[in-house]
Amino acid sequence: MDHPPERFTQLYDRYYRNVFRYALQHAEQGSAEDVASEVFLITWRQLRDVPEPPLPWLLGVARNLLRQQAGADRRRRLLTDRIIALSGDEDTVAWDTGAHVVERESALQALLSLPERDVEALTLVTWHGLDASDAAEVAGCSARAFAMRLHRARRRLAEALRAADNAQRFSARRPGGRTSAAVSLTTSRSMEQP
Amino acid sequence: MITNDDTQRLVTDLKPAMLDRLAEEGYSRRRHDDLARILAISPGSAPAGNRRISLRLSGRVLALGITAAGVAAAVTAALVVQSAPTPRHHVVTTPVITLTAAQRVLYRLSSAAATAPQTKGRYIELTEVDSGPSLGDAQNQQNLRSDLARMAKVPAVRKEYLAQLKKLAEMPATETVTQISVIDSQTGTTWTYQHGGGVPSELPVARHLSPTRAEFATWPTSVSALRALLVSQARSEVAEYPKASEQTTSELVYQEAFGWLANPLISPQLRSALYKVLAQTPGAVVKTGASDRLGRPAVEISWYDRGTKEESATFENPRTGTVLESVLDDETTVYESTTGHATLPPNPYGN
Repeated sequence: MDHPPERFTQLYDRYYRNVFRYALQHAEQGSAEDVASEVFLITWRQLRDVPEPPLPWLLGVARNLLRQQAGADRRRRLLTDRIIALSGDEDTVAWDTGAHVVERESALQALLSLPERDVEALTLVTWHGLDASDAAEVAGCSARAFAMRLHRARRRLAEALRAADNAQRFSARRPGGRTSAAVSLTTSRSMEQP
Repeated sequence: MITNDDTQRLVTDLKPAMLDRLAEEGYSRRRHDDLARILAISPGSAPAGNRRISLRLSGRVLALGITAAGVAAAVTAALVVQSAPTPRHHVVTTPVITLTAAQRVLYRLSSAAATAPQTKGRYIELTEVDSGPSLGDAQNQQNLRSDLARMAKVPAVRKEYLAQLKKLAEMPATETVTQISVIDSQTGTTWTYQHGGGVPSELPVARHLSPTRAEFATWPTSVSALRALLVSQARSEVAEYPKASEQTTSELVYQEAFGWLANPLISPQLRSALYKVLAQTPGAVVKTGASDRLGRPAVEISWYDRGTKEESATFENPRTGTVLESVLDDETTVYESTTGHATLPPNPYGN
């Protein structure tokens, strides 16, 4: 490592957005900025030990810092609140132009009805662009354990989506129209497939 | 039938567009300041250990160092940790008592702490004097100049480094800062006022920096449970302070326990329990009949942490078990007084 400042600056320029995006998913903007800065301060201090590729390591540090800030219950609420807060009209428009069989709100509620670990597994490989092996490093588990976690998360999401779909059909038949997605999911679990 | 590909595509499409936009904005907004502050620190340096000891508020101190203190303070912090160790004024000499005797001393401290009064009032004001090598220290000057040479190709920070170097010649080799921390015992929010050494008279308010009195009250006071909690806390800090992974369990216990002992919000029961944990943790040298820098009678407890390669010592009031002084390598913190207030006291150093 001949020029640490240059290497660090390159890391910052290339990965700040990834780290900040990950932090934004789990913390409010001000805290997310602090976490991203802390991640890069730690990176600077451990520059010699930063592995290649660096992104899983960087996100792993961010994850540890975020976990220190909040207990499990609060993390779960924060994750849900953050994803809802970050979702806007432009997402709805983009969704409507896609070939989706479920409404965006129902799909979002189905995702957010999953345990925090499932949401993390699903979003690491989609929103944050990691392969399963790198995502496992971020999540602090073996690649095999992560693959199992991802498999189960996908299965649970599929179940939640089916339940949401059933609830939509059920509520559409009822006078008064749709119920909220959260209630729908609860209701639908006691229904039989049409 | 919903396939894996369906769920994958669906989650991908659920990604809020705002995430990318905010990430781009954050990058543009933070880049200059982040690079200036971070690159002002020598690579490979650990966080300023003295701050970990003084209030044991380390969970937020790192963030505070980045966002609050500014470039000048960041440089100061860097110099604290990068300078070569110098001999301490408190050299541990004879008589060094045996472990069994050391345990007896620690149990006596535990008893004293259990019956000592706790400072009343919502706002607890802790006055401490921090001293250590300043920007003008020869080793620090050399380090800064070396950093500058390496960073000459980074335009964002070069100018600020030149400005810092210009001030070096006028600075003394050692620096003393009086610091007053006012902690809200109900929220943990901390106000920091400073005097001396060219530091700003006030740092931005650090919210929830310390556990509250109520939170401390939930901590276990049995030796085994408290010890387990301390070890767990230390290990959870690995992301922030990676050397913790190289420390032994005893070293982790000492590091955590002495950090918490310096916090004025802990109850007499918890302080007493912490000394009991220490009495059952080998590795420290205990010396009675010592005194701190202000000449106050003290029990000196010292140890060398092989994981962090740091030499530490603390001086405890034998009558109350409170910390009078802590030394980490060449950084010393003397705790002058602790007082309680019903309302938030103003900054005595402010304009």
